[in-house]
Amino acid sequence: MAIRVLVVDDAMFMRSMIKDILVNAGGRYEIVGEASNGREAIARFRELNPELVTMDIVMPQLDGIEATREILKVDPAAVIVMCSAMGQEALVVESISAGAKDFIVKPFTSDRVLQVLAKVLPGAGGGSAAP
Amino acid sequence: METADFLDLFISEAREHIEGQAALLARAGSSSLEREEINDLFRHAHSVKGMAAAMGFASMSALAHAMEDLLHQWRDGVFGSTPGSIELLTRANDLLSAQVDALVAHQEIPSGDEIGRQIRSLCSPSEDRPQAAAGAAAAPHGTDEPAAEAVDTRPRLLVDIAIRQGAPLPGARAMVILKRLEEHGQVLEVSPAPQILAAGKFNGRLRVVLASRIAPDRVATLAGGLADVAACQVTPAAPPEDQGGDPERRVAARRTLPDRQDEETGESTARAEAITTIRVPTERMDHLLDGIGELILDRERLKRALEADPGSEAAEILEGLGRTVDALKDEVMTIRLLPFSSIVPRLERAVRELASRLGKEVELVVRGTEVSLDRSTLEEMMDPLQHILRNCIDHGLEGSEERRGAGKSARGRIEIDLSRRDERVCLAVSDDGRGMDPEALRRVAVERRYLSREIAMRLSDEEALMLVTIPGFSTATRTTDISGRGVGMDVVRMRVQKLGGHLIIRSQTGNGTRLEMDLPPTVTVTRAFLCRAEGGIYAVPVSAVQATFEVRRDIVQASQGERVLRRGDDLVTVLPLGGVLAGDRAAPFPDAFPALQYQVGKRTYALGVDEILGEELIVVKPLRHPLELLPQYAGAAILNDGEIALIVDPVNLTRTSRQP
Repeated sequence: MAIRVLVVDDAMFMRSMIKDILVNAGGRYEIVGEASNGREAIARFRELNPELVTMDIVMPQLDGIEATREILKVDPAAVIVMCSAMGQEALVVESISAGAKDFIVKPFTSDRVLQVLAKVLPGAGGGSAAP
Repeated sequence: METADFLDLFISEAREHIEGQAALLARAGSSSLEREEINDLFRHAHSVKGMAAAMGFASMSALAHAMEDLLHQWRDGVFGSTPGSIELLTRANDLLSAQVDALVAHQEIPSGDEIGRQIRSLCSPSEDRPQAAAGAAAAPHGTDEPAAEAVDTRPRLLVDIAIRQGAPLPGARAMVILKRLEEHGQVLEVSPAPQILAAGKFNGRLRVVLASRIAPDRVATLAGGLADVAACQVTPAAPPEDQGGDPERRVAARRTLPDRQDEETGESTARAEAITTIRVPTERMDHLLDGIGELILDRERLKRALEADPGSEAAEILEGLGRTVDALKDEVMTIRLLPFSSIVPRLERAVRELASRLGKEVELVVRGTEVSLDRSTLEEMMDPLQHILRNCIDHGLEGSEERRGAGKSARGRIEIDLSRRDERVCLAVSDDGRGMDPEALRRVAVERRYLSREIAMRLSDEEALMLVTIPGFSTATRTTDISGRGVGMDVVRMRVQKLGGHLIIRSQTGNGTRLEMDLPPTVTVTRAFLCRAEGGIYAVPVSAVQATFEVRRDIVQASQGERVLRRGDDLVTVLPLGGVLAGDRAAPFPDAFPALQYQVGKRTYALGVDEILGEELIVVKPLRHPLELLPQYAGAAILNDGEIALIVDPVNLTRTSRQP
């Protein structure tokens, strides 16, 4: 079964890039939805219950950090990966503190994105073992 | 993934952001900005920064980054906007726009350094993101409360992690690692402090004291498997009760030392961003290619000088050298290639503007946009393509009334097709308009005394259509500001020829026109026959020649003012190279001579020469003005002995020799 992904970014360009990477990952991922701001992301998450969310940080209406907090209130086990630009270290640190599982940095490379995503998913050996 | 695939999307979306920003800045004028407006501006700048970085456009990204930082400070109320700073942002935004334009035009992207510096000088020198750093400091596993956790009696592990050099955002990476470790125990102590991690001053060495019942080697495996962890060492630390003395001081000592080190090395760490794309001025690429061309010539010269026996060591080395040089050449050629898609948005815009100016409905379909051409070829083709599109819309496509009357859809259709044919690229532009009438063209040519009646009647339809490429020749009866009197087709043909390509026009009255151009993907190094004719040495590209053969004069016959011979099923028209170049197509042939066979449209020709000296790799040098105006020459080549040979384009040679 392909992993169901929600792609959140206010730039269609960025969403296309991420989708392109995921769609070309040999059927491992399925894009079930997209959102272009934090508010929409929360609504789409409730509706679609995806297994993975890629979340841009700076977005109109509601930013990615707030959206991450809200989504984790809905589902504490949600797997959210932040999409960050260079120079946003503080915002990423804040996102991780808020509960995002990992982050990828723009400009994206396919290898890098797939490597990070593969490690955050439960059962992928990325720290899901119980203590 | 090819970022080039996203260039169109990048350009259009970047333009949207730049326009959005321009509108906001213009509205602001001299008054100060509302908070919501600042937010919007910030997001635009931020988006452009990220997109440009993704495409590897560093200068654009850096400029947008500077704008973003200034807007960030406005947003946080560090200080407010002033008319001067709004003006500065407006200029910066204009420069972003110019950078996108340069990108579209394949020109060098203008630098944003100076204006970026001016913006930065306005930014407050204080911490970049004060509020976020504060938020991170409040993170639950701050090092400030280890005493409160001292009740934990699980064994303590000292986890020492090195983050991969060059990993992006190492501080954030360290935070992810901490979070993972927390899933396996209690993080008691962290060095460096989270404030350092958030401030981008982390040097990549993370030390954590973890209270956990998991075996040290298992923790090492878990941590070592995390993204960007280069090395991980886990050792049992002394249990809390054995620490003795003053645990507070021990923690403090451990934390102080690396922190200072972090500050010293912080700058270089922050700069160690992964750079995967570089942009180089085209000029540099030209130099590189020139150098490779010289290298190829030297190799050929060396081969000749050594006269190495096959199988000898020298021959082997020469062969290896040859392979390396060829691979190098291919590599550079490939770097110079750009997909046709990179100029499609400009073509679309041109069509949109022309159609609306002329009140016509036009649909543009472009196929084969993934086909790549040499960057300079693509640049050179931009003008001719715009001429062609203009002609299609202005003259080719009828108005919607007329189209309906002819049983066509009201909306005209222009198709651009790219395909690869052997080594060449075929670029075809067709419309479904009224087409051209070869008979009318013949008539006009005779009326305007371009041709005698006899010659005009002898022209094939294909040749008659080519009459529109004579400067000043046109059947257009109207004069408009868009395509004048059909000026342009001569320019189109010249440009295509200059690039080493050929133009063919096909048309059916009432059913539209199709212009086909075949272009070499790259032109600089090619294989050619070196021939002697009338005392001079000429190069004829191998790609243009179908065969070479010996001709005895007694098999050449006269037919309709031409000299022909039969070769298999083909009737071959024979032309004397030296004679044609000297303007005498009827120059006599010697008793026996070698000939190079080639095709022009449906006809087969052969160029008679005095001698074929051999086949060699030549480096094509463009001809300087005014020689470039002679279509029969595709350039010049410097030969091994330093002589210069003109490169003959047989197709164009044949056509020009027929034209009155």
